[in-house]
Amino acid sequence: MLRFKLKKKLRHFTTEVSEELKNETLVLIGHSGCGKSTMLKMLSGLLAPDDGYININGKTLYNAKESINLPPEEREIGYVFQNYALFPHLTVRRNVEYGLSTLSRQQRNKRVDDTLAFLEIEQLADSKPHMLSGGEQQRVALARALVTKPDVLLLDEPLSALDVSTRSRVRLELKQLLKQLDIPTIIVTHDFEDARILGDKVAVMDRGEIIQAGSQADITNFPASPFVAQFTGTNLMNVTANESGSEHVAFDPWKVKVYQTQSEAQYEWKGTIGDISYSGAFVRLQIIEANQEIPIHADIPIELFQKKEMEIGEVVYAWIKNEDARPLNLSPNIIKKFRKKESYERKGRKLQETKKPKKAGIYIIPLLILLIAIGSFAYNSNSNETGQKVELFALVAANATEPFKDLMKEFETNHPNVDVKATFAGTQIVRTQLEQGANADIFLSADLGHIEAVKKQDLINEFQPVSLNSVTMVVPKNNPRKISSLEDLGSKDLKLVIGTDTVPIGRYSRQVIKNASDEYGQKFPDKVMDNVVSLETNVKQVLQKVSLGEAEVGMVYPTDVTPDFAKKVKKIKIPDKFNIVATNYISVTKKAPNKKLAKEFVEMMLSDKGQKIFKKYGYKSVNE
Amino acid sequence: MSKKIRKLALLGPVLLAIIYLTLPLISVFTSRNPALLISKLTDSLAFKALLLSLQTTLISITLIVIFITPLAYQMSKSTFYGKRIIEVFLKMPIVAPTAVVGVGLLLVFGQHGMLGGFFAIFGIEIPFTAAAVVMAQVFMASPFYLNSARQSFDCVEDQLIDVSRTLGISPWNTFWRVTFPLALPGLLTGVALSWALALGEFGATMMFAGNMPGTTQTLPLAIFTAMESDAGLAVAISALLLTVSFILLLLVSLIDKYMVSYRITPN
Repeated sequence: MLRFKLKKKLRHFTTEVSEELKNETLVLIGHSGCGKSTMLKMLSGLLAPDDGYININGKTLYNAKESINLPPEEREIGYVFQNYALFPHLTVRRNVEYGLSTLSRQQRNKRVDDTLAFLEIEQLADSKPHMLSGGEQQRVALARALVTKPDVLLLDEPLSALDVSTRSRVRLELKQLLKQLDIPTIIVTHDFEDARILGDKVAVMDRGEIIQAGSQADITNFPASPFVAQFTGTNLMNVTANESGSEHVAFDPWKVKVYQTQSEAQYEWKGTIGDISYSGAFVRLQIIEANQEIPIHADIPIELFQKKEMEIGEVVYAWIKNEDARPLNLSPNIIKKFRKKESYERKGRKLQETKKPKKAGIYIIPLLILLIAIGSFAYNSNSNETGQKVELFALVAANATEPFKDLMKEFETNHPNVDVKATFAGTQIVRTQLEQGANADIFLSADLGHIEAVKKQDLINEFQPVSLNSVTMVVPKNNPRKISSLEDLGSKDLKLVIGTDTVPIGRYSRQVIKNASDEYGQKFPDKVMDNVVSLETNVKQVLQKVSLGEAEVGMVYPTDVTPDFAKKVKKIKIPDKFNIVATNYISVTKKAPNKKLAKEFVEMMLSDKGQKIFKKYGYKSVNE
Repeated sequence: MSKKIRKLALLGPVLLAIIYLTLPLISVFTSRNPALLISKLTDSLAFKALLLSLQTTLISITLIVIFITPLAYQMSKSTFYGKRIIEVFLKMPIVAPTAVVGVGLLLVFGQHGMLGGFFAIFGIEIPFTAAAVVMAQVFMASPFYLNSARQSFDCVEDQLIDVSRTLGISPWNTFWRVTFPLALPGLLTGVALSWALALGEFGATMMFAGNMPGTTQTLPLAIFTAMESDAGLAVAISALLLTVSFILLLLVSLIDKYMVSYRITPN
């Protein structure tokens, strides 16, 4: 015995259902979205109701007042999903025995064998679900639900996943099976055929409520609303109050007479034929009458239909004998609700129709975007060309970035027709760019080795020193380790960051440390290198780590401590006797497109004016 | 006739795309003599970097799996307030420039960072250590695993989980018996993908962990460093990195091929 009363607020309406079920089958029928699947979910515990109770054979599964709410795994309710939800990674046998994990191996095997035999699917035991037909999948899903011997069985649209040809066969098999099982069963469907054949009891549901419940015959003969009549295929017509005082009559389609002329019958309607369809020995006419909610269905013997030669759109009269009409009293509420819903659905359909996917243009759009983007580039370069400027291009070692930018400006003010451009990067990188054929006029190297190698490849003419540099220590502004001299670099557990030995600053830093070993002892270089926590590939990285306070001291070119960095770090001078001279070298390339201008630029750099700019950034002049 | 033209019109972009996307990486292997590549790799710098890369990424990927899998599951199967916003935030590392991530990590875990000071009390310093390398890798590679894992959990139908529970199996056991085996191919794909990404992580590591052979210099950092002096060595290490990543990605496609066969439905 299953007793339940459940209430839950859904998005558009509140569902509220109460039922009592002996060992019989209840078919819940309704359109999709009417709340019938929600009902099953609440019964099985997959969805929490707002209020109510569920009771099976005296055991309470859910009671809102007593705050009882057993989880699904403790409810012992078999649930078969619409698409059967078989575990795709398990064989049929493993699927079926899935819920028996607490039993011993022997018991489990016996149970599974019995159930497979009961459903006549022993031969499928080793198949994987994707190899099965729809009907077979349904049986496996049933077997899986039944093997645990549930107290109640819930079936969600058990036949809708099957094709029409197998559906009626499987439906009959299911009926036999349910009879043998003899436990309370609830089937949810939208097909009245399922209700007709499987249901001991039928409940028609709409917008969360059961509109009518009863035996299949009750519902068919006396539909409680046009909605129910639509499902059962019964005619339900609105009539002017008759002698029994009722405002509706229900009648079966095969009792309807259709003529092209008016008769004297009490129940007669005039309408146009909306549709004609053949089914067996009958022809079904749908007659649309202006005042009625739903068309009248009339089943006419085929020979009679042919004699009358009726066609779609023709105006006809449909009538029934008084004894075939079943007068009914419907609550006006139900009718009102029905009208509202119908108009809502019609609107929805219209909206859907207007939404048509647009296919054309999908390929055009990216092309257009591409054209616009490229076009904008072309526009930019055009605007440059309008000045008819000559372009001078330089590859410059990163340490010379700041003075070189000033030099570029200086040169451009003196040569209004020249546009100087430059790339700043580590010497190795600008060297590679030159070697790979960069169309540069000027090459500035921070390292003698690199520029000599380039000269050997005959990529440049003569080169000469353009600026002199040194190495300095930098510490965070607050100098947490109180570093004051080079010697302090050898103190314990210091976080020192220097350049890697593959970049000039790294080599210079190592040279400085080595020079100091004359005074601080032979072990000084080892002590210092023990303190190195990171080897950076350029000076800016070293400065960043120090300015962030992660490193306690770093070794950089003083020229790289720009005003921005100077706010965060402090320079600590390295005595001249240990320091090195880091020289930048400049050259004009062999393939320079503007050799004359490039030479002018280099001369300007070497002149007092150019050297003054270098000095401004902390370099030493090559002229002094 | 027009069908043929249409086919040819499609073939052009397809071929160009394939060539453009493969050629630069293939050239890493073909530009130099393979024997030279191998001899360069015996360089202790390359070897140290490879070892460190393997060690750190192994730790990173383990951490990612342990911490991100439950997150991916929650993001897939639960709904909660602000989920969308969290989703967007969790995807940010994919689009954030790696240097920004490095700075962000420093701002949190650096010596003067939000949590760095707290760690310092216990004598734990993170920057310039292998731990920082792992943290940078975890940060950058997590979103890819999260995405992949989330998608694979999404693919496990809720109905299968529901049906398992109606069969008397608890949520915890349901996870291990249904969700996990079904999501496994996707999870493994995510592992391989984010592993390859962790191997290639560069910017954040450089910023947060520094560049110290043997401690924090991973393969990509070694490439960058070598680029400053010995381009040949840089190419050799690149080839090594690409080979490791290629093997990982190959595994991904094999996983897809052999583990997901049951998903193919008839018809």
